[in-house]
Amino acid sequence: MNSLGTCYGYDIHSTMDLSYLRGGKGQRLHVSVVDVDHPVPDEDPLLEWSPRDHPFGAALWYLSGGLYQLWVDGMGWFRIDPQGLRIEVPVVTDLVRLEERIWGIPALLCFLERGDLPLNAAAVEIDGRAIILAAPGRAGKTTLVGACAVAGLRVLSEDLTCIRLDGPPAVVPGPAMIRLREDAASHLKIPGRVVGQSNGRVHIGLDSAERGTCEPVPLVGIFLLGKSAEEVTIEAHPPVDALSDLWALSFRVSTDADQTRCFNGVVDLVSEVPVYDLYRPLTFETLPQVVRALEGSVLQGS
Amino acid sequence: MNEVVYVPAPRVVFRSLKEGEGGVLLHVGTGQYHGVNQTGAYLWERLDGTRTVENIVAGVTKDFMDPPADLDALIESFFADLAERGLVIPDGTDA
Repeated sequence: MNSLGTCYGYDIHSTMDLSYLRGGKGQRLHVSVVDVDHPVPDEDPLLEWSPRDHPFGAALWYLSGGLYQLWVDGMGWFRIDPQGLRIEVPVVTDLVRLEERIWGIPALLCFLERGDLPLNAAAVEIDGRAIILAAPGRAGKTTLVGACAVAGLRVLSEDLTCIRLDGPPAVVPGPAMIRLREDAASHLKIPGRVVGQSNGRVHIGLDSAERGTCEPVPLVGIFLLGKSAEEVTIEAHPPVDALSDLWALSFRVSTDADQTRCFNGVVDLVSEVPVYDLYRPLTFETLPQVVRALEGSVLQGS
Repeated sequence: MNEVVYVPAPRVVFRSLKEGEGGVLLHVGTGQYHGVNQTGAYLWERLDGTRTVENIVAGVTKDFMDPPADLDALIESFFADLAERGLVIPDGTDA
């Protein structure tokens, strides 16, 4: 299998055609298409996602020997070996959607095994430093990420951010993609290529020249997105309060060990990285102003 | 005289935050977490399974300048509150 590029710090080896990889080097991770209909495990799943509150229905099982098995509605079985660094994916025709699933739970389980902290948030790079944009769904997060890309900032991750905490906190860049709502895509001319369109979203692979590598980028701020009527403001957010916001955006299963692992990671994060509230009107017209406020905040701190 | 020895309840994890910002407790059984201030973090870190509440009050009297007159009542109330939330148990009791 060929080395195709990098994602979340892994050098991806696969026979698949992947659209969202970056350059540089990383630890080898094999992604292979396997035409096997695995049986449903006897045990209860570790996690389940309902299609009612998630874009797709899915369930995750832990198998013996450190293996995981993931079912995704409309696709089939994924099998993940985070220690052996192998991901098996089903045979499907929608390769864009398949790739986006790979960079979700399967990749997350791999970098979790590596000791990194996953967060359901976006990240962009400003002047060589990373910031995280965190918000629950439908808070305009991806649209703001798109505006950052238009302003020439490097998008490090759009939805799932990999945070390294074994030294000064850093973001390990994920897939070079943005999935914008159609109305946002018509307002924002993202430097990249449209690779698909589904469920009211335009799927864009960012320009190859803008992707960079997966080298970790020092993390200097976490911005919790809020809404305001008119003004764009940035205010410090107390670390203890930030814990609840980030806990809600973190990934964990219900075992004591994983709850503790996640708790320690989130506490490390709020202890070492300043957290801010970013209040802004949810309008396309004010997006450039919001991006400038973020840039100003990072550059002031340098 | 309060001779009770409180210990952290099973499945409770404590982490201190930056200097002056206290700490936070997670009950992994319920997934609920609780923030404590700097003094609360100091008190939690004294739960070593040997100190009685009275010993802890004596330590605070020594370590803190101008402790309040009703210090022992405040500390007893703090631990009673933690016990009510299932975060500490009197030593020798089952969780």
